[in-house]
This record gives sequence, C-alpha cells and structure tokens, in this order.
Amino acid sequence: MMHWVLGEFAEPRALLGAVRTLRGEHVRVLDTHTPYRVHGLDDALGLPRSPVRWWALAGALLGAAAGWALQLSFVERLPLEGNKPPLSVPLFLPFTLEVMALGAGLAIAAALLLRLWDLPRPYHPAFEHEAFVSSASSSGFWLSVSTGVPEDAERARGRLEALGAKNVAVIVEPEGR
Amino acid sequence: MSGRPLLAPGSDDEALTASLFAPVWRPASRGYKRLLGFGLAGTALLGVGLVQLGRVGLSSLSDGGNVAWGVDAVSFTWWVGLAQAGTMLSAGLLLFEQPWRSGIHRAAEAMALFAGGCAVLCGVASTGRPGLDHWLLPFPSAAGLGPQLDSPLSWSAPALISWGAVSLLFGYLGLLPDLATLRDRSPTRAARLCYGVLALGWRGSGRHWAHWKLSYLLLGGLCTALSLGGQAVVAFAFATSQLTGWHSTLLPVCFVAGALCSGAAMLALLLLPASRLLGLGHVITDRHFDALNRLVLATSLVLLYGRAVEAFIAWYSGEPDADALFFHARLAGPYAPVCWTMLLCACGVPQLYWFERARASARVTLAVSLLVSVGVWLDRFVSVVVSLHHDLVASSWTVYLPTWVDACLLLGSLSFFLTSMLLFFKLMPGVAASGVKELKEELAA
Repeated sequence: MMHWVLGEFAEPRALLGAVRTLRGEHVRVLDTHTPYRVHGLDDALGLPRSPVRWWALAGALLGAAAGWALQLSFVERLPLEGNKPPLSVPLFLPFTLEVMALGAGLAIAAALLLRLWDLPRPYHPAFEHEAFVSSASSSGFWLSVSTGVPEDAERARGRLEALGAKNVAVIVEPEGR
Repeated sequence: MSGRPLLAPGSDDEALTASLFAPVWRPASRGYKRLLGFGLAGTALLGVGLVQLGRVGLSSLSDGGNVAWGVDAVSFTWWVGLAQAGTMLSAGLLLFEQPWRSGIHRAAEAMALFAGGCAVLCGVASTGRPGLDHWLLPFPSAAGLGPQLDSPLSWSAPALISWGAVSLLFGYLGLLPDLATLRDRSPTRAARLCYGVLALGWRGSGRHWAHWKLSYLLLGGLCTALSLGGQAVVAFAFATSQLTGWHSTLLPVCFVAGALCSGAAMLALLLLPASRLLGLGHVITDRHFDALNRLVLATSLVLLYGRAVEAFIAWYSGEPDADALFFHARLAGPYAPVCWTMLLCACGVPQLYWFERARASARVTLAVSLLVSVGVWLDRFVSVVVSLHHDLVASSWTVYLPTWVDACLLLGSLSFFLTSMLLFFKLMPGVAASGVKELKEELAA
C-alpha cells in the first residue's frame, strides 16, 4: 500500500526551500504540485532535461520520410506537369516540411500522453485530500512524499510540519487502484 | 509604454483565480444571450448559403465572367490570415519571451482556432462543389488520383491541416492547467465531470511541468513556422501564376504583414469589449492595447510598402498590361472606390497610431481596429478580384458583383466566428490564469 504525505506551502520560495532541505536529507521520492511553473523547481527536484526533444526529432524525421514517400507514390502514378523529373527536390520540399512539422507535433503529444506523463489519469490519491483539491490548481504550493512504509510516512509528516507546511495529511492509496 | 503596468497591482493568486474564472460561473447576462442569439441567427445564413451552393454549384457564386474566384476566395485568404496571425502572435511572443503575452494569448489562440474554422468553410465553399472537396486531401487513392503536388494550390490543404493540428495541440497544452482549476472549482457534478475529462487528471506535478515547459516551447516553434509557412503557401498559390497583379515575389511578405495587421486589429477589437464586460481590465491593461496598436502600425507600413513597390514595378517595367491594371483598373477604373477605401483603411488610418494619445484611447482603438479589419479584407479583394477581372483578354473584362449566396457565406462565417468566441469566453477563462500568476511571481521577484 502506497502512502502519500502531502503538505501545503503558502508561496513558491517556501516550497523550493523545503524541496532542497528534504533532498539534502536524502528523501528521494518527492514531487511538487503547483498552479503554475515555478522557476528553479526542476533543478531542486533533480529532474533531468526532458527527453521530449528526442521524441520531437524522431517524429519530425518520420513525418518528413512519410511526406517524401507520399509524393514519390503520387509521381509514380501521375507524372509531374511541365516535363519535370520524377524526383523534383525543390518541388517536394514544401509538402515535406509541412508533414515534418505535423509529425513532430503529433510525436510530442504521443510522448507526453503515452510515455512521459502518467496522464490521462482521472483518479489520483492526492485528490482524496480536500485541501489539496481546493488549492493545488489555484493558489497552493504542495509537496508530496510517497512511500510504501507506514513509519516513513509518519516521519515525512513530521518533517513537513517542521518545515512549516500547512494541511499536512497522509493519504493511503486503497488496494487495487 | 514600459512605464505602464502589465498587471494591476494588489492581487494575490486566490483573488486572481476568483476574478479570472468568475465569468465562467456567473450566469449569462441578458445582453450576452441576445448577442449569442444574434450570432446563431447569423450562422443560419451560412447553412442557407452552403445548401444553395451544394444545390446549384459554382454558378451561384459567379455570373460566368472571368472572375471565378470571388468573395469566398477573398474571405478564405482573410480568415486564414486572421487564424495564422492568432497563432503567430501567441507562439511568436512565447519564443521572444514577451511578458505582455500572458494577457492576450488565450484570446489569440481562440481567434486562431475559430477563424481557421471559418477559413475551412469559405475554402470548401470557394471550390463550388463542397461534396467533392475530399480530393483536395493528399491521400493515395486506389483510383490513382491525387492532388498535383507540383502546384502551390494543392499545398494549401496539407498546410492548413498541419497548422490546425499543431496549433490545436499548442492551445490545448496551454489550457491544461486552467482546465484543472475549472475541474477543481466546478460548482456542479456535471461541470466537474466535463472539465475533469478535458483536464486529463492534471495535478500540476513538478515532473509534468518539466515536460510541459519544453513541449510548449517546441510546439510554439512549430506553430510559428507552420503559420508563417501557411501564409507563404497561400501567397504562392497567387504568386506562381502568370496573372498580372499576382505574379510577385513580394506577395508572401505582404500576406504575412496583412495577416498580422488584421490579426492584431481583430484581437484588439475582441479584447476591448471583452475585458470591460468580463471584468478583466486588471490583466488586460492599456499596455497590451498599446503593444497591439504598435504592431498594427508597423505591419500597415509593410503593407503600404508592398503596394507602393507593386505600383512602382508596374510603372518601371513599361508593360502596358501592368500599367493598365495598376493605374487604370485599380486607381481609376470601376474598382477605384474599393482600392481607395482599402488604401485608406489598411494603410492610412493606422498612421493615427503614431500618436500615443490615439493608441491609449479605447474609442480610437475600436474604430481603427474595425477599419483595419475591413481594409485588409478589401486588400485581399483587390488582390483576388481586380487582378482576375483585368485578365489578358480585354473583351472579357466585366465588373464582378457578389451574389446573395456570397453575402450569406460572408455574413454567416462572421456570425459563426462571433458565436464561437462568445461560447469560448463563457466556457473557458479568456485569459490564461496560470500564465498571469507566473507573470505576477516573475514581476515580484
């Protein structure tokens, strides 16, 4: 059974300080929940640079190849007008670039939904905490620690309270979720 | 300009959430309902026009003269311009890290989306056979038929599809944090369910934000490229033809400038009443309108330059045909009133914005924005219709007059746009709340 320890901070700087302190104490399974991007949080959480750029590159290359191949298949069936050669590179470029950008965009969406985010996920244990629901998406800066050990959860609760968090709660994820 | 605030001081995150989301929860006023009814009634005209077009075909749009591309092609290029200008504004300002973006980008994206819808409707109508328009799509058919991709005209459909899909993803990604707020603040179960499905379970996780940040930037870059490319493709469809007035390498630049000019003007036209009626004056301030008005001024100068170079080259080339088009058909012929009104509205009136008092005045902004929108529509009219009218066979020069079906399609698409924007501002926050709060934090730091 997973235990989620949640605590709310009044402002982003307090949250940043708490994340740095807890990471200094080797608490590793940390996450934050903020209504907007907080600068410096990626570094404080020790997150690597997002790999979404590689997905975009792969999608772009795949899109470009698909656009090119589609045009070649058209030319095979219906030769170009004006005695142009079948492989007219300058002519092929605009359509290829359009499909390339489309491929990159779709790859970013696919990467986020299928790989990088665990979304769509309508249910999350954090939503069980009323104070979290009422402020996490509008004005509260939340820190969460997840652990499978109940004693660790209690210790994390104590640390969060000591760091000045409000509305601290331990949510136990029900079995089978 | 830099002295004026981007945000009215004194609001904390909770107050900003309350004020930005209030229009969504507030019951619709009587004025809003009337306006919506007016928009819906106007949209019915679109249906009438499309039914008549499907029944009769191209002859309902043209009298059989040499102007086969009439008002629908004009409206198509105008709507595409507005749509891609909306994306260019939102994504371009993101790439240039402009702080005034946060107040206007949501409305710009909505404008882009709905103007794109109108462009598709007008584009579909302008072919005269809406039932056969699937042949515009580049897919390998079993019959061996497909669009001839060596013509820029056939690049328009894939350019629009790519731009539409990527800018929809860009807009949706930006909307996601606000959808989560809507879900959490919904007063009813049904609203919570609807916004909950759209929010995908977003909980503002630090890990999610890290991917969000880079994805948003990448999609912004793609959107900017696709909208600039889209405008260029639409311009190429004209520029690669042999027709005098169309055959110009300057056309893509003029199309981008015209699009940005009408886009910024339309955005000001939408935001000025919306900010007053929805109580968003504290996040859409004079500074935003000042910046939009400056953009209108700068792009109108590019338009003026384009028109001046066009006339100069016509005179300098010594081609009697070019001379006849530019100086006889446009400036003194049957279309002279249209050309002069265009020059006055799209190039002349924005010069008022050299004066700071004009840029700061809501009434002047409203009037100039309206005239500029009309002016850029007429600019497209002059490009499309007057050049077609004045072809190489003098005996076929007839004066083109739009039909009642054209009028239905134009008024119907305008009403459809109005209705869509009204519904959007009622269902979603018109200003990106998460972006505004982030800006507030940055300004405080």
